[in-house]
Amino acid sequence: MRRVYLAAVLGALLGGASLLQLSAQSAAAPPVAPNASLPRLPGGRPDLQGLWLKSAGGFQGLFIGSLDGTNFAAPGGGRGDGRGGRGAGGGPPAPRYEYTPEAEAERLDRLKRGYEDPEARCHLPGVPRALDQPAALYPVQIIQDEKYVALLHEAMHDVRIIPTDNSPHPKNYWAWDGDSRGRWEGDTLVVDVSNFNGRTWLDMAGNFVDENEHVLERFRLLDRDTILYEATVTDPTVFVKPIEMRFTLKRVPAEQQILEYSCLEGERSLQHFTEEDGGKKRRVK
Amino acid sequence: MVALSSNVTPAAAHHSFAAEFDFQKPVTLKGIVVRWEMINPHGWITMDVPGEDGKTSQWMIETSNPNGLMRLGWTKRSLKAGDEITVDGYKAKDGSNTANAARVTLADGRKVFAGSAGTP
Repeated sequence: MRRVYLAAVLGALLGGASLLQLSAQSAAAPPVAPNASLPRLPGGRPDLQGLWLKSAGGFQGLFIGSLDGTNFAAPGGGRGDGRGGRGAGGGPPAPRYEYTPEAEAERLDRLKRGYEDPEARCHLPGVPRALDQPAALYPVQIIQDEKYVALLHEAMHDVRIIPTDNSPHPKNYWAWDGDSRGRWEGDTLVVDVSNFNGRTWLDMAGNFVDENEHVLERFRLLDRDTILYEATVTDPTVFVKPIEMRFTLKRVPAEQQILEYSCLEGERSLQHFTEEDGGKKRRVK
Repeated sequence: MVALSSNVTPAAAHHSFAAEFDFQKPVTLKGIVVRWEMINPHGWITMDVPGEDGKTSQWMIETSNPNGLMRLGWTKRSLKAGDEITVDGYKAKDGSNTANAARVTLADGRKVFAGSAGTP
């Protein structure tokens, strides 16, 4: 029943996605398969479909509770300066942010305004934060055909429908998750993401981007149960050099499924953020 | 039925733990459940806690998000009004009667993980 519903919803979404396409190009011919053991669609592309869960790593990794740079998930609760680079709870090293002077001043200011984290207010997380949720918590369902790869995130009910025809980004369109256009390079799905609205944060620690954000993502199936995800984030008005991040997605047992996530249902946390830790005002009784 | 797993990756959430709660202020609260709301983005236990002076104060206890709890075995029937429980958690920084639950000890003695963002 549920699968039927999901398929119906996805079908409607995929049909609607074409509204934003300015042109369609025919996909390149599938390359010779270098790894015959990978699951593949009938056309030969790697089959990424399934339910996946992020392992440690990325901007957030197991980096939790970080307004002052403290990583409570690290052994011993490591402290840092909030700009990444501490490692991520046993996963790959977290990327290091290097801000322009103006952006660094803005970041420091946002450290005092944690209540403004858009995701804490249930907005869409942006890219790569959509996938870079705290590890091992919210799964993502990947559904795919010969023309699209769709990411259905449990977190925030975020949906990314990515055409894989290398079509251009639309003009005069800006969005929380930007606009994603994919192409296959051999067995690697490469996704170019642009057209961001510039309002997203990369994590809970005030690290941010603006409208000039651009992301190049790579999804590569390493084996049946592992996807290597890599992202390069550039934003010349925020960072002095591109930021690289990578982590793996592990396949979730088939009995699991995406669950409903109605973020606004009972948000009662922001009112308790204290002024010195990112809140609007102190509420000591 | 509540899962009894104790070897659980700390469940995280959609907002910063550090902005709301204080790891330097652990608290143990023993009292009576008033209400259990398994809601997004975090669950909340409302409980009455008798003080040493005999006066009862009401506390709001934030748990992990409902999907994380569900995958640990929690349901909306895991707690009900009148249940006697003990919560081990961390106080909110703003001084209100609010805490983040790390573990909940049920009336029958079972300890269950209820952690939210960054719970050790």
